[in-house]
Amino acid sequence: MTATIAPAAGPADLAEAGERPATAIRTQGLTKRYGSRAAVDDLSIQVPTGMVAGFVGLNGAGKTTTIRMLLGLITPSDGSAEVLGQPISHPAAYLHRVGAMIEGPAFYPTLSARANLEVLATLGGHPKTRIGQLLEQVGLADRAKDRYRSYSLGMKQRLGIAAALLPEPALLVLDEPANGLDPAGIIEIRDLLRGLADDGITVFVSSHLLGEVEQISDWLVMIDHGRLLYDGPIDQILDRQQPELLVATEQPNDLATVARLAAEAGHYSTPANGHLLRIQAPASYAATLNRQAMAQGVTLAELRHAQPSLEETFLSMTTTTEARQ
Amino acid sequence: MIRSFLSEWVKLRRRAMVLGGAGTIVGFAILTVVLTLTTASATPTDQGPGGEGLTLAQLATTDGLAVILGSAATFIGVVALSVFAMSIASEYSQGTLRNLLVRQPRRVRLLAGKLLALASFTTLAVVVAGVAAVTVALLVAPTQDISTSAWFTSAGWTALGAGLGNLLLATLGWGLLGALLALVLRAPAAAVGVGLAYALPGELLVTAAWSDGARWLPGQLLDALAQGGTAAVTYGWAGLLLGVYGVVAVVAGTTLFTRRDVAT
Repeated sequence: MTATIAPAAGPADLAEAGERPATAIRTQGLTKRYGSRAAVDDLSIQVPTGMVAGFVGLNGAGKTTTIRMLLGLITPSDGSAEVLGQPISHPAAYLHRVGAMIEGPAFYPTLSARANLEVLATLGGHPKTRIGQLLEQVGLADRAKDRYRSYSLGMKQRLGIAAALLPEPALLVLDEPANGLDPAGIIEIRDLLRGLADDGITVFVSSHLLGEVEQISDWLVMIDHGRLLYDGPIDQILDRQQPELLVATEQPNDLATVARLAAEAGHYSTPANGHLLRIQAPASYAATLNRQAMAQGVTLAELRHAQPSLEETFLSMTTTTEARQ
Repeated sequence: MIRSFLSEWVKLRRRAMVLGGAGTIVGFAILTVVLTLTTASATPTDQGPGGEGLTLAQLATTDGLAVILGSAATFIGVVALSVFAMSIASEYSQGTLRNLLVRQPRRVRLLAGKLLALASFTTLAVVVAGVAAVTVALLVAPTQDISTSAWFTSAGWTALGAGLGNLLLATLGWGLLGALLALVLRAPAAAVGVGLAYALPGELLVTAAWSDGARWLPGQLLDALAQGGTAAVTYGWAGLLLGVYGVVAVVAGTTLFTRRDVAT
């Protein structure tokens, strides 16, 4: 049993007035089984156009299998899906408008970056003039003639993104694009993806780096053990999580007093990091708590409001799911 | 399919392929010419599994050059087998097949273009090998007192053309076998290893144990095709059965390629 949360507003509502198709990706009961094991299990999602959509889940959750089905590389065991309004049973109808990097970059080791892109540009019928532009865009122009096998992991990743951009895609599907990148590279990719979304390209990006996804995504698809946990605006799932107050007292023993005060006010609290108390309460409760603590002779050394991160939200949802199972 | 063909040629024109693939084919052809001409004798000699060696009289006939080229078929064939097998299987092992299929999701077109490109590459290599072999033969033959006058008669040219054509067909047959192995095994080392093991010791052992094997085994049939027919297998039978095998290989390979999930 999953802890699926339905979004308040679907893609159709969000793109109601637009001329683009409402959804870039739509799946209905999509399933892939290997023997008795379901890698993707009854997955139904809708990803609206023109957004950066994060696709998150632990390693082995079924992200890459889902992406491979969407790109026509593997056949679903059950269910259906559409990409850019076309059924995935006919990938030729939509893949010319899709750029993809699946499960990391994969190129010919003895060919240069330029030659590798030339292979794909020739095959896809894309203008060769794009190659130079894209190599410039991802910062590989200076190394364009070097063999791929001499590249660092970050450079390989950039070449993978350049290859995905070859067809001037309406939908960009990237599987773990930040793998192997240094912090500066991650920021560059983040800016690149946001820029692409601003240009109207839908970006569907899978990652296990939830902090990254949280920073760049408008939409979130969260799966666990092949099953859907959440599909909707990222703000909505974060807003649904209980806000928290983090409290530290001047005297560590006084934390018990603060916990009692919170409990009396109907707020659940748990110790955190040894010297902090995490209280599930809105920001407005902070002033009340401060006054009550002072009245009890307790000095608060720290009192701040914290919204749970996507990582914490994900962990709480997957823990809930496992507990129910 | 044309885009797939041209795309494959971007990879085939790299130095490693030209030297490692085409260069080896040319090298084997030259080596075969030199060894055949320098080891020929006045009377037939037993050369073990390779049968009887060619005589000086046989080499001086109008089809002398064609016979020399035909005797290089197996060695050139295993190079073609390796080139086809490595080119296709490495797409799986390197993960590049997924990139290709995203850019060309019509799998039959992708495979057909790729095979045609490999076939055209092999054709060029065999033609260059033929020219090199004839050149070397002209240089070596006088040193062995072999007359070359019959080679350049009208009948000699016809025999040389037919010999080169048969060698090409046999080489492409080996290539198709390599492609099928690559599509089945999806790993370059396994595809090349199994192919070489089958082509070199495998069939010889089977033929030694099964006297009628030469009429049915693909390697023996390809050898017969390259030589324009042998005592055991006529040219027509070899062509007919290899045609059937070829159709089966194409159907099986295409079915595997189009139906199987690409999960690497």
